[in-house]
Amino acid sequence: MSTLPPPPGVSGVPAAPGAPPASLTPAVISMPPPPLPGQASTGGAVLQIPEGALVVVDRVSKWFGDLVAVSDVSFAVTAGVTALLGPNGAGKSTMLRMLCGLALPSSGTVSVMGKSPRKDPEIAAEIGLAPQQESVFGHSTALQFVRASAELQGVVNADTEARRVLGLVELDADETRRLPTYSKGMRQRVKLAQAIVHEPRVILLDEPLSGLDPRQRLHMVELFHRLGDEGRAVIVSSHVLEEVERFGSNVVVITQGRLAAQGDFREIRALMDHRPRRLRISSDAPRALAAALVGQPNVQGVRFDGERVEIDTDDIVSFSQSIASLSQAANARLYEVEPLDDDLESVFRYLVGR
Amino acid sequence: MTSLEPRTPTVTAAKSIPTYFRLLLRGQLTRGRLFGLGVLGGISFLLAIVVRTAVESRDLEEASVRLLSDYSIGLLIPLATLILGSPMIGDLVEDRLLVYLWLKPVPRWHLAVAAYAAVVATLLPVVIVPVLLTALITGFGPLIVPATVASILGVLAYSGIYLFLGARFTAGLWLGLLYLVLWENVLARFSNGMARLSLRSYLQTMLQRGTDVSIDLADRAAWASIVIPLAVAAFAVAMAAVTLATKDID
Repeated sequence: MSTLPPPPGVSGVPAAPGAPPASLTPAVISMPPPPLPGQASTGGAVLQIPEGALVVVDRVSKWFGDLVAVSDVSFAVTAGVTALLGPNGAGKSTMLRMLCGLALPSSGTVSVMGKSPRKDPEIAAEIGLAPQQESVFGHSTALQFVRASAELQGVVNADTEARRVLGLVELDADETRRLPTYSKGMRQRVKLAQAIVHEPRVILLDEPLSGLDPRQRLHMVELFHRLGDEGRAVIVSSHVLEEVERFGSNVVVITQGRLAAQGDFREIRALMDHRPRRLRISSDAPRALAAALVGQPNVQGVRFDGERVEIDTDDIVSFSQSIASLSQAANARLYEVEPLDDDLESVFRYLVGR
Repeated sequence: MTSLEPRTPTVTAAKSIPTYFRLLLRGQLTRGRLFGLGVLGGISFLLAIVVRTAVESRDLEEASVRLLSDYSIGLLIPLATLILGSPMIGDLVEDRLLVYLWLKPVPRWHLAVAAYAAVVATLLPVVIVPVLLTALITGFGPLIVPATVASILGVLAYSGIYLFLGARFTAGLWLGLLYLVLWENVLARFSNGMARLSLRSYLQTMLQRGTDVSIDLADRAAWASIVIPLAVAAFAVAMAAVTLATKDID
């Protein structure tokens, strides 16, 4: 979350400095021509709504006082698994809360299957949410909890359906233990079960893999894909890049409350892999090594502080292959090559600033 | 699955309210709260025995009325409803559990009414039994009916108020306590005009109907002593429903 002043109005919200350029989201967002039927309209960019979009987010912002949690975000989601990727505090959970109507956007609109999840409570029949928080009803067993959810969703055979989905997430429906005695992973699966017991078309899962062991993760990812293949939009938030890689090709990247990128994961991954990197190199002959690095085609900048060398490269792969021979040629022994901006936050900053 | 038309299942109040009711009741009846309610009832019982044994028979009627008016109506009913009413939705907000009940295809008032029903259903026996025992132990029979009616009206009205405060404000419990101590028991006792805005005054008016003993600031119209508490209850539950429909849910 960033501390920016609140955007000044419902429409025509100006993009703040550092907002993602439209070119990063080629599949969905482009700059105007004026809106045509089938397009949502906005003061600036036009959101192209793909055919069969189940969720449409159009220039949505959300702020709490001076704190901007989500700023001018637009995207659309069709059936299949879509990952909502971003570092902690990026605004993913706030976005998910707005997608299911728990929070009202400060500006912009959210629609699920053409309805406002905030103003039309009946659309909740088509939304399933597994929230991030671990809290569960302490007095209930898993079956009681999921069955109550089914009853409140108008499911006809609530008990049968509750047992079925508990089986889907590999939990014993006849378990008599209360939910607080469950492990974190088991509670995650109970939350997932209550989110899908009514077979919603839009499933929102906030960090659903945390607390699961590798086998359960694999099983859950398979389940997400199966649900997506059935024609449901499964939106899964995560701050773990490697995790998102398993979810599928659609990715929406949010950082500092802004849409940083949207589209095919492989393209975004390639962008991330080929971004400029800064490395710190420790050596027994740093001066000689720094001199050898200057002028190399894959090195854009060299800094030397008397002890260590820092370099900027836009081709980490070729640099990795060449550094050993370069240091050998400079008669310098390498101690350590340390990336200075390899954390996810840096990756997202790069995507936003591009 | 190709249609983009959303399903609109019919979840009637007759179906959703009992489910909400069960979930809420099981969740909120903690040992601590039951203990608190038991203590309040027990004190009522003990005070009735003390009055019965220590007060001379010619003063028993007045002592009984004072006990019912000052303890039962002034403290037991509002405090018991505060203990259970304020956290009924407030705790769900604080524990971030409300989302599981809110994100359902039902009007928000179903949840508000179910929460209200859970508070009232729990409190009616908890409050009425001590009040009846007090009237029986002190041996003053004519008080039983007005005391019972006043208790029911008190539970209905205070439950609505505290339910709303708990749903609307994070510090609902403390606001409820402030309202009880500062308004109902201090400020509203200053004058007849201020007492008109005090629930206690209407409940005491109802109690007074069974006795010749005069209770301070309990001279409301008979109809008002019934209608006002019911109207307060209905308004408060409606406000709780509006709160659920309009506030952001965490």
